[in-house]
Amino acid sequence: MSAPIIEVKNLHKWYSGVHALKGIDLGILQGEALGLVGDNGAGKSTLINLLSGLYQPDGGEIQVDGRPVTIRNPKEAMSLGIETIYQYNSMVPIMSIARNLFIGREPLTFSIGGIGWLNQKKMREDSVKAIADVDLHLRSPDALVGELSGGQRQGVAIARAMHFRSKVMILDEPTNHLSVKETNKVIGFVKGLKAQGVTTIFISHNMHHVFACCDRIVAMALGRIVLDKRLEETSIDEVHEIL
Amino acid sequence: MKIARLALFAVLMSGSAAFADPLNIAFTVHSGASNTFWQAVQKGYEDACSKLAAKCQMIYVQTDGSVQEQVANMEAAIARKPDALITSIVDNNAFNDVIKRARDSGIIVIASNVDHTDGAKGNARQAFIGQGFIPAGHSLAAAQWKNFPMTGPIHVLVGVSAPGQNWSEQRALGITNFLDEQIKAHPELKITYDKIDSGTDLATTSDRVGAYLSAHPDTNAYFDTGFWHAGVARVLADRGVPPGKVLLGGFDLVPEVLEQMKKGYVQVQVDQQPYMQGFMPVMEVYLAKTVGLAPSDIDTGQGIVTPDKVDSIMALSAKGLR
Amino acid sequence: MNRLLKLAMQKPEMAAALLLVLLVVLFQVRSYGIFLSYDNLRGIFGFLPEMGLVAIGVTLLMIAGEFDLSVGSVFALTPMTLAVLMVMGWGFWPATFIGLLVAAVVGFINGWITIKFEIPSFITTLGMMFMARSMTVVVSGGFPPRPDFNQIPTTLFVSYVGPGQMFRSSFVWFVGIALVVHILLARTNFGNWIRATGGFLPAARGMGIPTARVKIACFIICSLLSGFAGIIQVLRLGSPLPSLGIGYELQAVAAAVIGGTSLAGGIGSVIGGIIGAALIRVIDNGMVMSQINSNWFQFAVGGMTIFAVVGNAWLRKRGQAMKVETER
Repeated sequence: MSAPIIEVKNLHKWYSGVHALKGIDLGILQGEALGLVGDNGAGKSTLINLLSGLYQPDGGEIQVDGRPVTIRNPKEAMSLGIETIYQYNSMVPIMSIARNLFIGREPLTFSIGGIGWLNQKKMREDSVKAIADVDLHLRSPDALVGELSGGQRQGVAIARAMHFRSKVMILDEPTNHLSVKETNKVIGFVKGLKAQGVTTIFISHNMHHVFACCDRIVAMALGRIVLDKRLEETSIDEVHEIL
Repeated sequence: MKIARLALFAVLMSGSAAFADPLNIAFTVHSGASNTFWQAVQKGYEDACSKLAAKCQMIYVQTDGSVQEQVANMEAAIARKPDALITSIVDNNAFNDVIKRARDSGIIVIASNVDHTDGAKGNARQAFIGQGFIPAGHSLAAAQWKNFPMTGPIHVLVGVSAPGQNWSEQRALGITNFLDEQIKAHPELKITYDKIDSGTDLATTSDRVGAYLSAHPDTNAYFDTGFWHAGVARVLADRGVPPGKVLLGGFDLVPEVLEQMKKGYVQVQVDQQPYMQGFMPVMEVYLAKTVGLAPSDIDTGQGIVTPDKVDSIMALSAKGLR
Repeated sequence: MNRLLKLAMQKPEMAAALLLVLLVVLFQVRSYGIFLSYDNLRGIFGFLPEMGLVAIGVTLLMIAGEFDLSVGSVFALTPMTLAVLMVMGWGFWPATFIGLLVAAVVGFINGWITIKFEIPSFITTLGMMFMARSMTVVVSGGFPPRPDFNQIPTTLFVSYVGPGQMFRSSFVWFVGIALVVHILLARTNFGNWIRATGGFLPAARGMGIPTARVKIACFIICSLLSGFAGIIQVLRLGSPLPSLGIGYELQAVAAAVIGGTSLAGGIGSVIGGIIGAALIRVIDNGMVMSQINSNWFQFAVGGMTIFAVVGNAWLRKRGQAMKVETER
């Protein structure tokens, strides 16, 4: 068995007076495709917000590659190799694909103290390549993200995470509001990620999508984990019953 | 009358108030605090109050010219039952009620700077200390008229700084009244005039009047209802127009205007002696309270200032005394 | 050609520029050729840098998703500080430095309070507008100080330079600063962060951009530009009055919006803000040339402004609707 790439021990979080996470213990193995399911308010978003550095836990520990870490902000999460593709908040619609791809990590031709001249040529070239790598066909890297369909936006977000060689990719409800064709594409992406050795956490409340591409299912309810089984050992019905 | 004057003299010379309680006076105005003219009024007001050891408050409005705000300030002021309320009256209706109530509860009310257009018949204020705007406009135009060429056609621009506001409209009216008289008296001079919204910002007035002058290079004179023609003087200087080619005149002595008078660009200016408008009402309140003298009207000036008086005035203006 | 036209019409700055050209032609005709005369243009180019710099600052901040209503007050506070210090005996350069420092501090306070207490910047800067205006009166002691203009290097800032004596050196400063801000916005990573922060704050934060610092930096830049613009106006007109700049904040926001800046943030450009400011000055100036009666003047200016924004939106929609084949 490979060692867990991420492990959380007894994780607690309070949100606006609500005990959102009540002692979560979870180990995610390298290369695994983990499906995280549960109803609204179960604590799924809270858990991934903690892993992506948007918030800090109120209790418990997070370990990455066996070492305890404090993830104080999204930048630190990204430097640990954790990329999150949020449900709504990944892209800035009024900016171009190229600019969105490199947001916060822009390649600079020269810089002083962190502020510098954008290497727009590199941005454009790398964008084209990154998008092609996830088998997405878009007109131009200068097109505004707001002009893309939901599935295409997800594709760009995934391309971004791929480009920056994330070790762990967290996808938050990636198939919401997508057409059948686009959903299949996303599921294909996730399978492809697994083939490339990227660990993925797939969050959804659509059981069928989860069962289509993951090899382990974790179900959450009211801040606790209520089910944790490999795909073969469970079924959609069983999960529905527990929730 | 002589006895009263002696009493006044004695009381003033004694230097201190003859009361147990200090006088309590409120002064409400229609302007915001960033207007330099009112700073001079405030200085006169506060100097008078310190001489009498009176408790005085000057209340400005947040929005320049806002009648409602001023009425609200007046209500708040009289609720504290002061000995006197000094106020500008920039509207012919809005203040009548609150002034009457103040009088009914025994508060002395004196108008300063701007009066009801019907004067004493307008509302219950006991006296007006200030400048009659229409007569002042008339006097300004008359004084400048001496500098006009005596051959026509003559074209004049009148800049109404704040259309709709009493003080600006009345001053403009005084000026245009005079011009209308001249048109009747001297048809051969072919006198014409225009009124524009000239603004209350130096840069804005400069730009607007500058634009007008470009379109009407034959303009002989510009009258401002405030002091913003000082900016126009600069525009003329920039364009290389010699002083005196376009006559400039306006109201209130601020250092900028005095400088332009020295340079010859401004020929006449009306001084409404703001210091007096702050100082004298306080004294009248004092006299009313001590020796029962009824407050009386004071015309603070149709003082026309010309370039020869500038030097002496400049020193005083810098100290806010004129 | 059609494709280019379509693209051009959809850019908000282009629509504003088109409108500007239209109005200039209109006023030129109405004034029998005087509008574009040497003297009048000189006047416009004298005032434009001052309004333009404020508009640029406000535009930048609006792109970052915030407002600053205190720009008019800072416009007066900085030169007043400068004048008071000079009258006290300070040299021009140290006094200018302090004046600009005051502006920067105001900007910082605006940003810090807005972010720390999570209140709308509209409100923070509204309060600051009153406070800074009052500070200006306090600092002046009620009476505007008269610094000795012989001590001031006016050539550097406001004297006429260049061929034909059409432009002042302030115009050169204006163009230079506009370029720098434009480059900052369009060509640096910081500019990317500004657009992301204003365009969609959650995404910016999620991707690790220090949005609080970005916003505070924009607040500071906005105040600095207003303070500097105020200094230029005082050097041009010679009087540090406490009433300078009253109303400029609304004109600056109007200029930004006319030039295509979105009230919601993320969208906008420096050139748009400049065109918007120029449009406002042209409307004001042109209305005088057209001899609009003083009572109707404000109606006319307001009406033209609405027309400018509506015209802008209409041109954009026409551009979007144009049928042009796109390559597959």
